[in-house]
Amino acid sequence: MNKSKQSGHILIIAIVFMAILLTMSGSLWGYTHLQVKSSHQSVARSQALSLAEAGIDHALAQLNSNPSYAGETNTDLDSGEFTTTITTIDSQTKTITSVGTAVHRNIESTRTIKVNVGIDSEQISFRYGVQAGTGGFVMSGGSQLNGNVYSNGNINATTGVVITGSAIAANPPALAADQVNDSPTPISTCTASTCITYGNATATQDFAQSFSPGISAPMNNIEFYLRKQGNPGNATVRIVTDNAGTPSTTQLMSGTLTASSVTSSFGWVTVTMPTTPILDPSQTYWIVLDGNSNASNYYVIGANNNGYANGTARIGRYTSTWSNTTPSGLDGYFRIFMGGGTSMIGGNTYVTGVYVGTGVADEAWANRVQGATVSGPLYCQTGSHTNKPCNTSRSDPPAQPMPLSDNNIQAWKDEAEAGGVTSGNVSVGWAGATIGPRRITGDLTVGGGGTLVVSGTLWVEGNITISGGGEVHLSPSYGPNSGAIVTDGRVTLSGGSDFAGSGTPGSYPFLITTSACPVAPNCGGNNAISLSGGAGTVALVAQNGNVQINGGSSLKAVTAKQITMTGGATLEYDAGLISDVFSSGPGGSWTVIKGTYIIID
Amino acid sequence: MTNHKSIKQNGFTIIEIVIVVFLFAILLMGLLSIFEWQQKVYSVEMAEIAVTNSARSTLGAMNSMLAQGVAIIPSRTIGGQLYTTGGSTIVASLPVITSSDEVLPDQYDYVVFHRDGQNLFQIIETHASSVRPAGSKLLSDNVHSFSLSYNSGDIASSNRITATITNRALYHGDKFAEFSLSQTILLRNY
Repeated sequence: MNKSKQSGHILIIAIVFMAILLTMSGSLWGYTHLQVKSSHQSVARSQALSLAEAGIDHALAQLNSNPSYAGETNTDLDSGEFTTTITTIDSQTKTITSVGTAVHRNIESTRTIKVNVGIDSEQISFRYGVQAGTGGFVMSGGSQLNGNVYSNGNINATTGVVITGSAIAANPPALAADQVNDSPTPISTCTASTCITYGNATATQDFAQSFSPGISAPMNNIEFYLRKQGNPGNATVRIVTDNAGTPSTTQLMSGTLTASSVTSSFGWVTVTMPTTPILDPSQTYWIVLDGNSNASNYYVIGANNNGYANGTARIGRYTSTWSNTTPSGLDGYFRIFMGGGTSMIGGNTYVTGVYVGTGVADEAWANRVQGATVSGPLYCQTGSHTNKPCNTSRSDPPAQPMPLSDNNIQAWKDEAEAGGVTSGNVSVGWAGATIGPRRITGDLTVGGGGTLVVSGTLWVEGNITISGGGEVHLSPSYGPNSGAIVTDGRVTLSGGSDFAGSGTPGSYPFLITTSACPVAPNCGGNNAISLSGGAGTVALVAQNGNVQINGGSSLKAVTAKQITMTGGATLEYDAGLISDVFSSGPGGSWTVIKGTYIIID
Repeated sequence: MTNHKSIKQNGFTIIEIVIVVFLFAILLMGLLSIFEWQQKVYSVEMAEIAVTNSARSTLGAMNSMLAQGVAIIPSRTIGGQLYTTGGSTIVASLPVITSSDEVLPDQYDYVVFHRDGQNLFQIIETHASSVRPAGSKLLSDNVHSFSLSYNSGDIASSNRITATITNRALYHGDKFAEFSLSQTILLRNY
């Protein structure tokens, strides 16, 4: 019996139908996939745009702390990265180009933003509790800084002082010849116009040459083109202030010209000078070669006729009278070298010399650190008596520019003057007063428990003295803005003086002096700002001079060429000072120039 | 004796065919029901994706343009059509971008975002030196609601706009997927 074979086609038919259905499903899935991909692309584009904007914001913040910032490449941030490029258009304008790249679900997107930034706004950044110039920062006697310090010179700190934030000390400018009058040389034969003889008679005992420094930096040494006749003695090289065109008797520093270093033939002789005080570029100073006189033993200095544009020579006698050279208008040959060296934090030979920082992010950073306990990283090239070894991975910190420019200060002066001029001195007593905007040609004194309410920018051409419980407040009309009180004279705060803002958070009074004291005429050895007890909510600025803060004082921030805190003084930095907005007047921060923000791609 | 050859006959009986067709029909119905179910799911998903995509891309386009905005303009006529800034239309001026990616000072392009029924359009009028593409672009065709609010009562003094869009797409005739999105945009050149 044969088995019957039975065949069927249902499987084939089923497969065919399945194939048709799969094809249809596949195309539908493909369409869905495109839609989903489009959605991911939309998200990636949005993220890329946000990253590009983050790059702009980051570049602005970097420019405001480091004007030489040139951009960065492939900086990681959350969902992607950004690359920024800085192009300098002029000294007041730069272009930031930021490219943001984001990857979302394997879809990459790139967006590019370009914007111009400039320094011309109402915002000024005070980024540090203490910002010192080349004169450095000195803390002693239990003083405490609750904030960060950035110094373009040494940070000298003795036992018992605390810096709760970071401490950074940048090196002075590199050693360089700043002021020079040195040609033509050699001088083989003296004439009346090529040589100045001094020390040969009482009336011509001493030689002086005026000059103006080009930068605010420590002096290093001075060279003179000299020869001697016979065997004169050593001479004292003095730096003194100017007294109406002649050398004064206010000595700022001195060195010694050693007679043995001078020969009977002309040559350059070097005199080492102290590094402090820091001279001010806006002032005229005199180099005085002060020795004895003897008809047979004297010096001869090389000279030329009006060879130095920023000064002139005199012949005479220190502390007595001075005369023009013969012929008049001669300038001696000299070279002034400024800068050089490295900066240091500390200065003690024990680890507890100064405490820097409270957290792991607070750092100490300088070329040398000596006698310090640091909570966070210690960046230095040379260290001793520290709680940890130097991390040498960083090069020395760069110098920081001061937050205010001459234009800022002039703008405030103009603003004050627009409100009217008060001739003479102004004294505010127990009855109080409301003043501003106003220019005061004399001194301003607040005392007797009285309150001066500042209703607009003030410019005081004389000195400012706040004492005897006197108070200075900003008017409530300032709102969240800060206010400026500018003076060309010295500031003395004592006896419980108190400052306050408008009452709205973020409002601070700024007391700003252009004084270069103590290295200017009529300083009488006083500093540009002296604070002794009191102060309160105020920021002090003396970019050309020195600030002395003594025991019992408290303030918000201080910026000066040289700052000294002693005897229990406390500085409580307020983070709002980072982006301080003044009610009017130009600022010193880089900000976006409206109208230039464009999305290129 | 007679040899009988068996005669092979190929084919199906009617019963077999009926049974096969019946089975095939059942199988097909099963497959079709699976397909129909898949289609329903697909429709829902596509509707969801469409409204989400539409809302995101619309506000993304608005942000890209208006972030560069210099000022909000009360009204402007473009292509013979008057557009007036308000709750569902915004007109803004933009910096002119030249071919060298520079801004042309004191010259402007104009952008309009305008709702017309379920459609949202972006209309751009450009300066002669601008590299921006001029013209009208449909950003979304399933707008259910679109509103604009400004941070100042005087619209021309506003520098911050909040745009809220709700997109809705129908599926299965009477059901819809909906997605709302809101974004605040700052005119960075104001």
